[in-house]
Amino acid sequence: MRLSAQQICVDYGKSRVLDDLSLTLSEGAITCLLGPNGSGKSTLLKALAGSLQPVSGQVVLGDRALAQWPGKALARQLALLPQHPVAPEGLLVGELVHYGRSPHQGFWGARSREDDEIVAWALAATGLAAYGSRRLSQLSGGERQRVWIALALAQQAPILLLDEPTTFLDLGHQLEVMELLTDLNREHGLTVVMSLHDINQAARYAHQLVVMERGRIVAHGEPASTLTEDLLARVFRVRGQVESDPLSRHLSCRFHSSLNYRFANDNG
Amino acid sequence: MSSPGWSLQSSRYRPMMALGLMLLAMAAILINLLAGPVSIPFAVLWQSLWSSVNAAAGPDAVAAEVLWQLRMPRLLLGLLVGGQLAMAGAILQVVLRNPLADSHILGISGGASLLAVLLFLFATDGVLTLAVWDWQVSVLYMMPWAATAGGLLAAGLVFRLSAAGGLTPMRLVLCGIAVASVLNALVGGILAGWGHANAETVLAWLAGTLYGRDWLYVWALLPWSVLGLLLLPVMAKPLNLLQLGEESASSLGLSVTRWRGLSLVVASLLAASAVGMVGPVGFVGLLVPPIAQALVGSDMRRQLPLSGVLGALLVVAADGVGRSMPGVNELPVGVVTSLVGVPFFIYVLRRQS
Repeated sequence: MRLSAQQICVDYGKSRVLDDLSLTLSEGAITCLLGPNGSGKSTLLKALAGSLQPVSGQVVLGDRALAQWPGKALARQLALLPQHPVAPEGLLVGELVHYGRSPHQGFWGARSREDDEIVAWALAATGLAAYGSRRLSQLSGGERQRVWIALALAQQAPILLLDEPTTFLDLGHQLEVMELLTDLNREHGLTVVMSLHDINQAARYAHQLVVMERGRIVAHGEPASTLTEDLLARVFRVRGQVESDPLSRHLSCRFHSSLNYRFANDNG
Repeated sequence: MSSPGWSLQSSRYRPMMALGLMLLAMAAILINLLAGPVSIPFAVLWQSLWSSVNAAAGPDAVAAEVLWQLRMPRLLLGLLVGGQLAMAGAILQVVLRNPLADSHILGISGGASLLAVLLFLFATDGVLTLAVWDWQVSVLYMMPWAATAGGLLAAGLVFRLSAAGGLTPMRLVLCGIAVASVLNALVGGILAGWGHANAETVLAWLAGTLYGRDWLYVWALLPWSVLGLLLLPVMAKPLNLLQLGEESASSLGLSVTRWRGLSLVVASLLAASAVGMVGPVGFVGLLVPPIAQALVGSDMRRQLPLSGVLGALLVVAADGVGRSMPGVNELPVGVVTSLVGVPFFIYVLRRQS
């Protein structure tokens, strides 16, 4: 189902965080949101997930605005992994992943055989098959992030939104999460939308890049056509070089210096 | 770090735990029924369970009277009050995402106390009755309704003040503490400033006591307990999702603001009606949910009912201890729960840091 934002504005208090923003996400693709801190990436993800109401404009999924979707039906289409997910003390990995089934269950949350199978699949897909009866608090940061992805998988929503899924992980675990998402996208046709800080990872794994600055989209397209030296300077305020590997056609950026810091120093 | 097999949460230990709890409950109930100024032999309890009270004669009749008119309602009321306070605490700790939350923090107890104290003050000196049209009604029977209204009003005020921030846990706690302080100051101010013949009764009530509670209290509280029991299965799953934080809960299809509000209303009803019966018995809502969580984990479908059972047990046990204190008067149940609760409170604080 197609997810798009139509001229949405979002305010936090008096400041405008998303300003008349429109975006249509490609189905079955991995889209990365890039932009400096405070450019509105997280806010856009929350608005796309429906956990935040725009003051004007609307987010449309399929044939209806998000506000017109009943909560559970929406949760079967869209899953959001927040930047700082929290879990109560003493929760077991299997219990948490089972909560992902709740949009498919009745009011008591009774487990069906199908639920058990899907949870087992979600745990296996994230390499956590042996972790079901472990406590969440006993896992490492990378393992915990995979548990949260497993929860979103158990939800079986075709669209997966992730807010900086790699920020607090070391490099090895970052790549692990990115490759897991790539596999899920390839094998199950999942539409993945995530915000990232690492421009090189975004260039490497995304089919589409969305670059944001101060609540607006300043560039949107395939990495090769979107990521330019001019964009790095304008949006991220860094001087850098974009290179394309002749064999793999992967893009990579090399950064030389901050433009802001030098600018500030030159002035005084 | 405990290995998963070792933890009490493991389902292998559940039958043992259930058995242990049942034994504890039986012991507490028997002691409460049989021990006291009039010691009742077990045979009388057994007999009067199966035959009419009047059938016994002589000293057994007195014993049966004490048993059925004094101790049984007191026991049942203790069980209901304890269960309600503990369940309210469990709900509040989830919604406010704070292991130190209970009905005192949200101002629910304070609101209930304020209206209750006002009611005492309007009562005729000494006899504690209030003229309602032509009848003289004992204020003790009106207390639950007044307290429930007071608790709901206080909770409503806290909601109103926190609504601007979308009922976030932090705002709720801060507004709750502010409202509770004002209400408690008002209660103290009224008591100090008004100087009233009923002040002694009010003070006893404010300590939280089960003394002299008869069947009417049980019948008055029962609807709220039944309401709590009926709502419990509906609340468990939304509370589970609320534990995952606002964004995850909403992404899993829960209407977060609506369920937060509803949970707070239910918790207020449960806590305030209980406070109205026996006064502000402290620390039950604070003490019990973490213990229940340690025993069965944080799934509210298990934690909520277990909290109810443990809370009921705690209040009855505390009342048993308070009654068997050496001395002329008994120790109010609220004093005993506080004496147990304060060290536990400090323990939780230390473990958190």
